[in-house]
Amino acid sequence: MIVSERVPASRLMWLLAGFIVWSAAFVALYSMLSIGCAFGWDQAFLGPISVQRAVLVGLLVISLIAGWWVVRIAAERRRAAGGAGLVLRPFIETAAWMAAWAALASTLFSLGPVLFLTACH
Amino acid sequence: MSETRKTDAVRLHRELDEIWHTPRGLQRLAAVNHTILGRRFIIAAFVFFSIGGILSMLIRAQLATPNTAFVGPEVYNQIFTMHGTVMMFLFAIPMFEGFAIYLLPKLLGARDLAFPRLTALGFYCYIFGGSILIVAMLAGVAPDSGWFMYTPLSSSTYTPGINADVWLLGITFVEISAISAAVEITVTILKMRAPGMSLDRMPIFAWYLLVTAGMMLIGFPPLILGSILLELERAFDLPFFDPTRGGDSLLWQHLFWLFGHPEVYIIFLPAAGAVSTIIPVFARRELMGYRAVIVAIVAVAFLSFGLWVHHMFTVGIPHLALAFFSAASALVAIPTAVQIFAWLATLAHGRPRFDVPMLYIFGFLFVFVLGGLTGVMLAMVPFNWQVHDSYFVVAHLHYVLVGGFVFPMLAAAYYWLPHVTGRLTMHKISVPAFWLIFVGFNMTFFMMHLTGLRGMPRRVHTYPSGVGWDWLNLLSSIGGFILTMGFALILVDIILQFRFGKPYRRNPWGARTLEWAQPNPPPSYNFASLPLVDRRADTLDPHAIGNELAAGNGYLGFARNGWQETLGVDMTTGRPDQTIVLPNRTFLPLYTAIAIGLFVLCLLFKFYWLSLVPLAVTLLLCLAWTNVTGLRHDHGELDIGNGISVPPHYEADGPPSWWGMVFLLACNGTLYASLIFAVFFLWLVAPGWPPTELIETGLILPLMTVIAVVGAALLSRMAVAANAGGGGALPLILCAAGAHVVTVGLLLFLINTALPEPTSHAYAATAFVTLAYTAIHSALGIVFALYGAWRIMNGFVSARRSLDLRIGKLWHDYTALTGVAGIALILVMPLIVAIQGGGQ
Repeated sequence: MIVSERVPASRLMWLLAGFIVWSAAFVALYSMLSIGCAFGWDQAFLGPISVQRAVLVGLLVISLIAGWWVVRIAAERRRAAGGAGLVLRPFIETAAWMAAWAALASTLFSLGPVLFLTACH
Repeated sequence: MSETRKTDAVRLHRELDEIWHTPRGLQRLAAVNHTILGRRFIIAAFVFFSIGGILSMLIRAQLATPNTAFVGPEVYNQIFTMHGTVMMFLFAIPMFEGFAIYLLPKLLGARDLAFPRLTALGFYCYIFGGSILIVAMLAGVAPDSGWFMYTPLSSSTYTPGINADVWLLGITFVEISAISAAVEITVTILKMRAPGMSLDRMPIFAWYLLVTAGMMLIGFPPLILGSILLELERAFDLPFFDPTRGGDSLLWQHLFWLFGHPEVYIIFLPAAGAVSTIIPVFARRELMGYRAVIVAIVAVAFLSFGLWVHHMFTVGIPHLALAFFSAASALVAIPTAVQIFAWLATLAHGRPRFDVPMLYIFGFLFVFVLGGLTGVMLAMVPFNWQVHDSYFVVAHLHYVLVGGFVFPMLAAAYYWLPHVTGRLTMHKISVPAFWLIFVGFNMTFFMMHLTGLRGMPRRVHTYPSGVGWDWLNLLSSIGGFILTMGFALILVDIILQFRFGKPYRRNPWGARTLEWAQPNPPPSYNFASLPLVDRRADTLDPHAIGNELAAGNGYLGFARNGWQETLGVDMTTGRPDQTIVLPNRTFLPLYTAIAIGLFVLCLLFKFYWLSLVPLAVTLLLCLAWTNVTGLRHDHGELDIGNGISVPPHYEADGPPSWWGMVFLLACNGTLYASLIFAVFFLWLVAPGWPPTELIETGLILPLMTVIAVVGAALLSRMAVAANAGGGGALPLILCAAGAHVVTVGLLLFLINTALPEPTSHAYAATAFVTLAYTAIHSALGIVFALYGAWRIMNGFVSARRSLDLRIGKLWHDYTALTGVAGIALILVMPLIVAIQGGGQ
């Protein structure tokens, strides 16, 4: 039996969405770290924290928010895909939801060191 | 099967074989059939593996005892460089490609891959590129700077001969094969599955191959760019990696490892796919955690791109950056472990039976898990610093690569060899062969952990006595020779299977995937008719399906017009949406590969002007490929059986060639992004910035260039729209060609008048490459546009048959996008260089 559901190919991209956010966050933080160190942002301060750390922590927060947004969307789609008789759509949406959570956790774990390590040494 | 059905099956077999088979003799060189080419890839990869193995024996002979005078340092440098190069580029990747090319259409229920001629071209590029390296080795001018060719050692100052050029040009030539395979695999999996095989029904191996091919499209371009830049430096003195002129040798390391670390997973994932296919067969139950495994391999694919700096922990990168890469390196162990636990759970919940493939699976689990654990150790920065460039790293990488690729591939070889030969394995030799390999491997490489921890550096051609390395090295060497004996036995075993193996008809392992629904060895057309897949494609009954398909009771169960037909489907649902008519055998891939090979040889021997001749011939031959594609009249829908009709692919919305161009451009875009990365990296990090001389373009010329290149894209879009409306596309597409001519002219003028001398500084060199990139793409845009015009004039294009124009549109859009980005970069760079130079 051929699946009768309509599932656009773009849905496949949602399987990747969480980790695309992770990749963008990784590139953004690594780039800004390099730029900040080259420009001496770690020596300029905004109150108690350096400009460098403010920028990096800000980027981490934005990344986590973006990752959380992907998780939320994926969760909503997963709920919506639970209709009777549907098979393919729940499969893709659940996989996308699992990948989104994995990516969010990866973002926090791999980029979390901006919260406590010195930046340019 | 009843007598009538048998007669029908035989008649159908004859009709289809008449269309699909490849005659013997010289015609074999024209083969485009995936079964033939897959086998050739595998055999060639095994030959290169043997060469790499002999080189490793030379290494172990040299290091067996201290102060050995077996070979001197110059020869030893070539031996270890070639060992690594051959094993990584000429064995591992092509072996996986061979498996994929042979198996994929069979697993998916298709009759061939999406681009059979591209498969053949990839094969010949692989063979010719690999041969250049081997001939250079026999001539004593093999690469000798290590398999990762670090600059400045590989720069012309320290490697003035052609040794490094052989690597850069030969490997880039071979990578044509890798990129073409990646495009081929991606499109085939997404578009050419059996009807009904929705994404959730795909065999797990197909998921692994899909993810791997996607990784290749993103992972290989940084190395291709690095090789081009280094060759430009060596040949024309453009100083990308020269720190005295604004370059930086670390740029090479970044570009190499941006490829190099994902490469490890590109090698591992297909092997893991084989494991995920084989274990359920012998456990006699479905793979546990099918969906979790898919998510895990997606996670591995992405995380593997965030690890590359763990090869560079000692080069002086800020600690915070090291923490990012250290964390990601440790993190990748989690999705890998998800797969391992899925395999263990499948075995635990099944009713396992033991056979030769399972022996190698056991070897894989043991060796790979050990390699993974030392990988986590190496991911920790302080430990990494201690053992960097020591034999501990050599031990780790062999545990990961041999454990993660060779053992599973041997399991796969024993599992699928009956499919190739139609004969069953003689088990008498395969078991002792396994134990020789397992014991020999561990004896060779476990010792290297200890020599590494005792401080023995990599790549030394000899070592002094009495520092605690003697007996460990001797044991390693003895183990190496035991390992070789094991591989020799496997070769004997395979030959015996071909010669004396017991013939069988179908599915000797009781497998439940589609490739076993074929008679073995497989017929030229794979399936007499294509199956309807109504459940997970690794839970099928190949016996029942095989008989039905052979009788022509599936889709396309007939021969029509002498066409090589297979089906295209909707990407997600697997609903048939087109009949794909594949090209017949041809010598064009061979001729094209020869022309590319001559181009490479001209560059190697520095006949730069002469190289334009084979380059032009290559372009003409590529155009000749299009001779047999398309029709001069609208065809309308074609019956595919079971009451369903679909259009031929050249009248469909998303045919394979359109998707092929999409993925090729994605790959190309990664190369361009790597170039942009190189520009900013040098600005930020390299010494000798800012340059003394900046680009002075003004605004007029760059703006005119942007208008021209964007204009070409817009005109192409208007041509497509006009064609859809019923006509008037020809003048528009000719104008698009004209806009590209203007773009090329303006870019050449800019390069000649506004750029500082490209050899003066890396800034000027990168600007030159950025503009040249757009100029080359725009020049090819002229070819695409004129080709579109030619197709219109010759009746190959109509409102329904617009594929030629739509593929061209993709190219023109891409050229406009990268052209605008490149011009913007050229305009912005003088401003940001003025703000701050790098590397201070």
